Amino acid sequence: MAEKLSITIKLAGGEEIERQLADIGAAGQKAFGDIADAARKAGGFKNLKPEEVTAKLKEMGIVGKEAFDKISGAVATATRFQQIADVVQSIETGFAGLARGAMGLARVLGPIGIAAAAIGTKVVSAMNEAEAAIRAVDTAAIKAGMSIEKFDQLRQGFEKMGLSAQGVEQALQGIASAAEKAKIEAVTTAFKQLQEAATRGYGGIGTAQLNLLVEAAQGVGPAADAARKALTELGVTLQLPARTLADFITLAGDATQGTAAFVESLRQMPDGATRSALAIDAFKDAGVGLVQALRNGIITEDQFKERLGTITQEAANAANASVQAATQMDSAWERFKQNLLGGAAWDSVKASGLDAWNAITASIERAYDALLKFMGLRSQSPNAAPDAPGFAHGGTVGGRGTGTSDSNLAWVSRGEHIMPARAVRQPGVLALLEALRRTGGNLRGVMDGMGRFALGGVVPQLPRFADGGMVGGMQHLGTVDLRTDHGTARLMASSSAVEQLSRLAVTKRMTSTGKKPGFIG
Amino acid sequence: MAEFKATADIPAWLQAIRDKQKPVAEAAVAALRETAANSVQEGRRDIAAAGRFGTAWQEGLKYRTKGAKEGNTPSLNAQATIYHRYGIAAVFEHGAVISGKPLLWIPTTPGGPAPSKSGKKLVSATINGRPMLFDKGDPDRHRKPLYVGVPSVTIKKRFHITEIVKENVKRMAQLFIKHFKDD
Repeated sequence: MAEKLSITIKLAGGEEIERQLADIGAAGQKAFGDIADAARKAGGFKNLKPEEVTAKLKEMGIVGKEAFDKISGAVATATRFQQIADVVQSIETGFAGLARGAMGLARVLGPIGIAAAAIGTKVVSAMNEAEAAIRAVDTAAIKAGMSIEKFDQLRQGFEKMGLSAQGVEQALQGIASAAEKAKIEAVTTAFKQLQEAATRGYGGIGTAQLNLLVEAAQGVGPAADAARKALTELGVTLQLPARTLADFITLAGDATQGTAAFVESLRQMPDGATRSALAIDAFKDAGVGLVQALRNGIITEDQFKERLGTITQEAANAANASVQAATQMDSAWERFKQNLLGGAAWDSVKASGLDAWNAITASIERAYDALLKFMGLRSQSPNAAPDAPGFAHGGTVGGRGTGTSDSNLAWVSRGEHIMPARAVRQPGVLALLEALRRTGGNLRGVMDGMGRFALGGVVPQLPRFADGGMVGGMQHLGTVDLRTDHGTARLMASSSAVEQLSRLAVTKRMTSTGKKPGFIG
Repeated sequence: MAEFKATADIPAWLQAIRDKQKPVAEAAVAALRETAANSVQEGRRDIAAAGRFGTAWQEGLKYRTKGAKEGNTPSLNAQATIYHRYGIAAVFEHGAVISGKPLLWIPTTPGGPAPSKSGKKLVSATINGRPMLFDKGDPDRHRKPLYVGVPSVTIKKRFHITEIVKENVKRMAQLFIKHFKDD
């Protein structure tokens, strides 16, 4: 007896499906080239109807016919086209993220960001090319195998994608160059300002400018060369007064012009896509509006800085999104290469593109940091001493100079009260102030600790501190020499106790010299 | 200030991989089911075309899946088994030579019972060199033999289920694409 009729199909990790997909893909890819060559010899796809193409291919012999059969079968499965659609979608996502990142960065980077973002429109343009290719490929993928015209559309879509890839690579390099160029301009601007300041006799180089130049000089490339040259010509001993808000407003004015140009360039883009419109609105709201509000006095400097901080966070998010987009593009290109081209030609494209983008992010970060320092929004602002102490909890001011020289800077808060050193030096004042400070201003508690004699009474035995020791409840506010038959002792007591003891001593002296006069109470 | 950093969120990355794999596995399992279903459908037509095989024989061809899910997620290790509920179906699928011990008694009435289940007393005789079994209680001198004895019987291949399944498996990638796109 034979075994039971039983046939098992195993997915085995999708192995069989994967193998079939590879076979279909390889056959389709080869047939793709065969049919394209055959079609060119037949006069091109555009000039022929499908049945005519078939007839032409038959006339060309068995090779063409086989190729046609193979491509028909392969296209009918739509295997490659599904993969193509996926890859194209990934690339489109990468492009969109890249463009968003470039536009978002422009919001806060001023002229540097504007320059970079303006070049970034190349990316947007490349993205639009990609979109057109996507549409062509997608259409072909959906209707794969239906007609030879669709096949031709697909071929054209591939060609467009190839062009787009090169365009993106060039755009990325362009952004890097623009960022470098923008940095050169920033250095050049600082250089000119320093020269002008030196000519006017300001007597020195500004810390912010110096930092900018020094930082730039530490890098490599044209910007670093320019910075080193500037430092050589200026020297490091020059000093320049601090940058003012007015200077920044001038800078912001330039940014406004650049912004307008950028917005206009976006408007002139042919696609008119929703994505671009949204980018324009966001850019206008966050960038142009803020700068104009500051210039027109609608918002204060503090408000400007606060809102700038908000936009800064947006820029950080945008930058991170850009990096992620670059990562996505990396993956997308890798798949694109593996699935469609199957060669190593795109390795260089991918590498150069990512290197360029990394250069952009690094250079823009440095430029942005330098810009913040330049604007005085960093801790190195020359308006404040870098190590000025704070007195949030009060205390005695140390430092240098006299009691009235105002030689020491300090961070103080509204409502705090500062006393002249001369008043603080008076007997008991410092201790009283310290007691008040430590008790949080509890005047009653401090006075109770001292002991009060406003209503008279016996003064309790006072502790002695001639040999030092811990002061108890009474504060050391004054001293009085108490002479007795057994000797003299120096007492430390509150001002009221000192006064009463002094009065007692005077009375004693008067008593010892005889009957007290009438004017003694 | 702006931060330019790309963080590696491993759990999110793994989840993303799983999310990517899930539709693939779903499509693959769907392709597997459809391949099996198509095989069964075509196999039943093949059985019907093979001759005297009625509805029970046709509907005896079935399929079942195993391991289609691991937990709540579709599995790429799923398998489908196409089988026939009649064990003898394999004889018609592969063909066979059935031998007797020493003889195989073939009923002269198609579909007749085996000699041991005929309920009759049988007597054997060899006529023209061919062994036969007759009803012992039949007094007719011209009685017909109930069984003919042969050393073996060759049954030809009637079904083509294996070939049908193989052909369907070859189209599994297309089904996978179809389901992947549908998702």
